[in-house]
Amino acid sequence: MAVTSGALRPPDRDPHLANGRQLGRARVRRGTLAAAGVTFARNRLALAGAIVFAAIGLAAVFALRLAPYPYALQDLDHRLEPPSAAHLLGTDGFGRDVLSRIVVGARASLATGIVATGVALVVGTLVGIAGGYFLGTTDLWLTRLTELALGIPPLFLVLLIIALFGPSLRNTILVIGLVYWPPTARIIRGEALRLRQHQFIEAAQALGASAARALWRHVFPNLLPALIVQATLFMADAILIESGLSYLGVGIQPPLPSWGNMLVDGRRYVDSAWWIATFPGTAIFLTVLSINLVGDGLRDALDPYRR
Amino acid sequence: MLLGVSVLLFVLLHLAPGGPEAALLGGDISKEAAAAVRHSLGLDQPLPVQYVRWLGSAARGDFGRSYLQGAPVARVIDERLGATAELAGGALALAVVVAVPLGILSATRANSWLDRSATGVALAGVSFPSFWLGILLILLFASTLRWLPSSGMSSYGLEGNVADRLRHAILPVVTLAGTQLAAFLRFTRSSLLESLHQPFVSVARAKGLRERVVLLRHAFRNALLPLITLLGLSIRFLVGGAVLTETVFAWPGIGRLAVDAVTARDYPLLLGLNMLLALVVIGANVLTDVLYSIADPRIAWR
Repeated sequence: MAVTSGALRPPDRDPHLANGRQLGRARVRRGTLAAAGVTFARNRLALAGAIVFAAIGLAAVFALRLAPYPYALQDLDHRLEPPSAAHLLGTDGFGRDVLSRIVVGARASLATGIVATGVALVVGTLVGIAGGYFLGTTDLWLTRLTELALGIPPLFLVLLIIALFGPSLRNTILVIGLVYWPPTARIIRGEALRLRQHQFIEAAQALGASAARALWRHVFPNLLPALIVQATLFMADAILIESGLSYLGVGIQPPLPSWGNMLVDGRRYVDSAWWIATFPGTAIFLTVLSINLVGDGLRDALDPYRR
Repeated sequence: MLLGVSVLLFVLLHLAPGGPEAALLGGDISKEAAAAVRHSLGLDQPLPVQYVRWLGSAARGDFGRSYLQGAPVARVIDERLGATAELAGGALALAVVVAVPLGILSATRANSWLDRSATGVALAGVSFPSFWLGILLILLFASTLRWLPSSGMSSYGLEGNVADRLRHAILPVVTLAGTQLAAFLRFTRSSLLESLHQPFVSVARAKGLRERVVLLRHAFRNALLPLITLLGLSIRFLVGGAVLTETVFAWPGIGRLAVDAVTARDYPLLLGLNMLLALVVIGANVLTDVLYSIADPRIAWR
């Protein structure tokens, strides 16, 4: 599984150094993000990724209308049929239409990608920001917790929890989010540590802002660029993880289609039905690739050194 | 660290609804039968008591007996460990041997056709589900071309035959190496590019050193540290990848053992496996630190 979380990405330089003299929230946000938008739009690969991803997103939203057959409709007289006019991408071991299942399967993948990323980012940000801002004992314990969580191979932990609490779409999403927060926490902690040295934070404190206000109004907005990049890169990983879990049989459960659990049939009938092994995998690949392209584009756009 | 992991797992395992008795006895079982099983396994004791007992015997190297197989956990794991070590070791070696030189070439000829195609392939590689790569390899080399076997470690009756074992290892090792390779390549390239833009590289060139020396002794040596970090971290992901690869290729390693242990709620086996993995991760961290001090003499090895 291509699990290359944020921790494994190339080291990025501090995107805030160049903005060090800008004060306050509004200017940082508008200035950085608007310039980043222009850079991003000029990057053809990133733009192509965004378009492909948007198309997959639309397919997921309108899946039930787009799918030519009901996704669970079995037709045992037409098992393992190669692609034809009636079944554009062929049929699987139960005679179900592969195209329909791929289209509906987009929902599971995107739901996992989006929600699990949200959960991981919220937990990671809270842990990271608290440690990096308050320092002291809080930081010590939170760092220890992060390292403990990093000590167990993540896929193992996910397997364990899902097997114990039962496999389902909801559990898959929650567990992926709850297990993969440590890399985010690490990055955010580092950023928060750097930020609290800046004078505008000191100024806010001197003006009597509470810790919560300083964090929310001044630290958090400046973490946004790092967070956005981390979110896209993690979303790609989350989708890969979900497909792997579903392949192992502990993710999304049939008859609900997911690209991962469709590939179980792909492996089973690999000697006779190449189309089941090829198309769902292509769907995973295209989705993850498009997200990675967007992520790389965003990273280049948000990092002033790479412009 | 190991203690922390063990407490965390212990609590997690015992908080979960349903126990091993249902998996052991199957289907509908009477309350009395379930209670008897729980009693015989010592699961009716309070949690701290269970934990202290487990810890006491674990310290003496006794991790209990696997519920499913009846054999001691240490032996069950030991039987499977070799297969995974072979798979993961082969994959890691392959990934490093291919990715690092390619990454160096790619960084020195930035924006050449070689660099473009290498980065393109690497980006595709990190977007590839590794188990799908395995299935595609089987489709091509086992089903269509019939060159290589698609599952197991050896053919029946040929267990001692080295050539036969190698033939069985090719596809799984390539599968597991694939995504790691892509990540290493991307990383080598970007971290070398970064160090090539440092002032000391210009100084080295200005001194009139040959490009080879500048590249390997100055730039690459400084790009090595983040690479070592990545290598250390990759152990955790190799283990995860091994679970999937072993499933695709019916490879008898600890990854598949873990999946079986999870579905059967085999607590002692699960705890043993996770302790082993935590140990491997810690070992990898120590090794990373040692390699750091070798690569960079400024980092003293305490």
